[in-house]
Amino acid sequence: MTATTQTRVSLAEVFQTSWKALEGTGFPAGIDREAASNVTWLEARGLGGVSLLAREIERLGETVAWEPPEIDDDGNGIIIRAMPATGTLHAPGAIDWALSGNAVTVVDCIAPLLIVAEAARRALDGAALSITWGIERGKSTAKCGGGQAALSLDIRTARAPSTVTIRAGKPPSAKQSRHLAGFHAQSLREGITVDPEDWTVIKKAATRVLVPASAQSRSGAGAEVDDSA
Amino acid sequence: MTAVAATAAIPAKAPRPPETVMRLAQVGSFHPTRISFTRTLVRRMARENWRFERASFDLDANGIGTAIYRVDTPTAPVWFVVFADHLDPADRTDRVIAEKWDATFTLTMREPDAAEVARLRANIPLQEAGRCSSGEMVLSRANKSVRLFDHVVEALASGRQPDRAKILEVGYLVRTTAVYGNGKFGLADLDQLRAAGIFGLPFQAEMLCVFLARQFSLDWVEHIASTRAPETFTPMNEGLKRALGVGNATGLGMAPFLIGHPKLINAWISARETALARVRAVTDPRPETVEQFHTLLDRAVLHVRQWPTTDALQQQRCAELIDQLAVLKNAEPLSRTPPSWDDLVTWAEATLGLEAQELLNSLLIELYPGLVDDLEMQTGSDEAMRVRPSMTLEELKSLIDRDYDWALGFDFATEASNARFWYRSEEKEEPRLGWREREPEADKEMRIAIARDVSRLHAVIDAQAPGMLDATVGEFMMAFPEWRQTIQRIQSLAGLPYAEFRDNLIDETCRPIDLLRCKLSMFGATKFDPKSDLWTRIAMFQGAPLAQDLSQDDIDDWAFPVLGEDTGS
Repeated sequence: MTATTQTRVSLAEVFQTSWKALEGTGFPAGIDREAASNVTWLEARGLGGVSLLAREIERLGETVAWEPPEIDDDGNGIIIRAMPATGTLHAPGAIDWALSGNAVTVVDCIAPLLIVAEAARRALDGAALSITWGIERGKSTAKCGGGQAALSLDIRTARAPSTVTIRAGKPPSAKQSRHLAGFHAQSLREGITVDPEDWTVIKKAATRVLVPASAQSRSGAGAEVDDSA
Repeated sequence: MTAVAATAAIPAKAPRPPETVMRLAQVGSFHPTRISFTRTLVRRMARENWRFERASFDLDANGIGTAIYRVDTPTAPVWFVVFADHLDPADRTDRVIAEKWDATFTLTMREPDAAEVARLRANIPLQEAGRCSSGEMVLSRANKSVRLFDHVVEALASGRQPDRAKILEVGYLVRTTAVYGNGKFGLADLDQLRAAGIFGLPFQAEMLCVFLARQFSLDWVEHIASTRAPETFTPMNEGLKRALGVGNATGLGMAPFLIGHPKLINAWISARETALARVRAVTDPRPETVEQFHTLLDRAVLHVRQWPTTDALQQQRCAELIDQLAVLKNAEPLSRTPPSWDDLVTWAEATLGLEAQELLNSLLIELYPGLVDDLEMQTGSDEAMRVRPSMTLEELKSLIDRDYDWALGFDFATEASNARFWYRSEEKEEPRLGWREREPEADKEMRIAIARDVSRLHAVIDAQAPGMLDATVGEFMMAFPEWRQTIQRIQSLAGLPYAEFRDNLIDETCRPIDLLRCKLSMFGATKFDPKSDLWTRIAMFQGAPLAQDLSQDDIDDWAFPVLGEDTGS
């Protein structure tokens, strides 16, 4: 991709457009907002939130139906199984359980980075979570707390589906979280560049919440006719 | 009801309860106060000695071209870049769906050199169809009020001052139709604005943009008139300039914003109500303050007399307001020495209509800058919404019973209480209000019906088996994920008394215009001129000092602006 084909957007645009796209795809009210926040969190830190969401929208099709996940408590913690488990849909629930004091395992989770984003946004007020995922060839870990995060990613496997474990942990030090915080500050200063094809997928999904124009619809805007006074 | 606590340190009566304040009819009667955003901005610009320079004014004889204003703030300079274009009368509309305008603007942090101006020139006139960068803070546009603009050009070109009656009839030379910020169309994100250090309070950048649009409109009209007839041209009288503000045409877009930013709304209304509560605690007003009250009251009467509106209901409200302000002038609590402001407010609540009550409240707040001006710093808020998953359903139900008893009082089984639905049109995503039974797209309803949603959630909880009430909210949301947003809102707004408008926004009788007036009054808008229940025109910065006058002593004395009898032709 050349620089001239890239699209520059603000974080607010990423959030609002993602939210509408998720709403238009049928995500439950509230899950859609959390997922849009997670996508924005990742994108602002150079972790590919927009492309991740674009792939999720393509995978899910035009509508998503919520199937309550299977929840087990094996004595060591909560185990979440869903068909399929995905960070887009299940990150909020997983972090709900974790912030209620449980160790949590999400089995075979698609888009595990979205769980990291959810944890980073919500581990506040003294809460801190440690997250591990990946496959045998390489593990990735994240420390989340105080609204900050520090990641150690195995770049070969960090984005691949895998089982995710979430436990109480320690917040990252300022030094550990500096890298992601710096990326976020740069995104705010300069805006962020997204792949136009990914962005088009999301924008197209976002149009599903819009009502087609009609004369009746225009009357619902209540606008005036004489504009020259 | 939710308890409302007064702020410590400064004596205050208990603020008015939300069940009184947060009704649509009440907020739909608000008038601006001295902590409205236009007033706050003007005080700040004067206090910090901001400098304004017309850096470039490259307009032809018809006023077509580019103008650049530089504003030096103590933190950093910003620039206001204007592109003035020819607009065919057939293309002139205030609707958000317009595609061309008389003038388009941006407020930018990046110095506009030739390359930057070229980039802006390629994008800003397109508005929503263009792309902004993180250097630009605000994107806006305006159309001329053709009747007044052309009249002023003709008058000044022929050496006369414009007709005072015409100035009064309209009140502005240009009318903005959208003022965008907060990352829209690639603009700087709100967090970036805060990080840059110039604008820490809500809507300050947008207000500066409107202030500069007013300045440009005055320079623009004089430029055209002086170019047309340099021998006979006369500049506009300074008093007339000051009387002119900027118009604004506003539709339903503001309503979803208010519902979507409940913590911000709580902050705004809390500041306003705390200001009033502090003033009501003043038990022995000085004689000069009482005198100032009467002076301001007389000015307010003239202000209402000069309030032009073609809306029959607003005309009636203004007529009643004038009558009731005469009653207020002779109110029994004012006959005492010294008068009690608290008694006066209580008297007004029992005697006057809502328009007059709220005008009195704004007037009282105006009297005590030393008591209330610090509250302008409390008008910001994040909008973080956090679920507390370990709360039990029983606790959640109690929270609803405590904070949303007003919502549970509506009967959503009736057709009338569900008659309307809000949605986004594919035409620039303009928010619109539909009739549920007559329009087929109610499945695309925006999530604005807070009262209905909370009532339904309450019913769902009630329908759970008794043992389930010990379950946590987190467990409940695994089975009922569709309630997450409503639960998040209820939990996040606990303890924020003014976060919710306590009416049913999908009832057949709902008047969205009340929501618009609430927000616009917070901005500092005056002269509300509804064009329907969904749409209003207003004026901003009428009576405000001009950019070059910010060092004068009277920069803060423009509440209830009026056009004096001795001003104009």
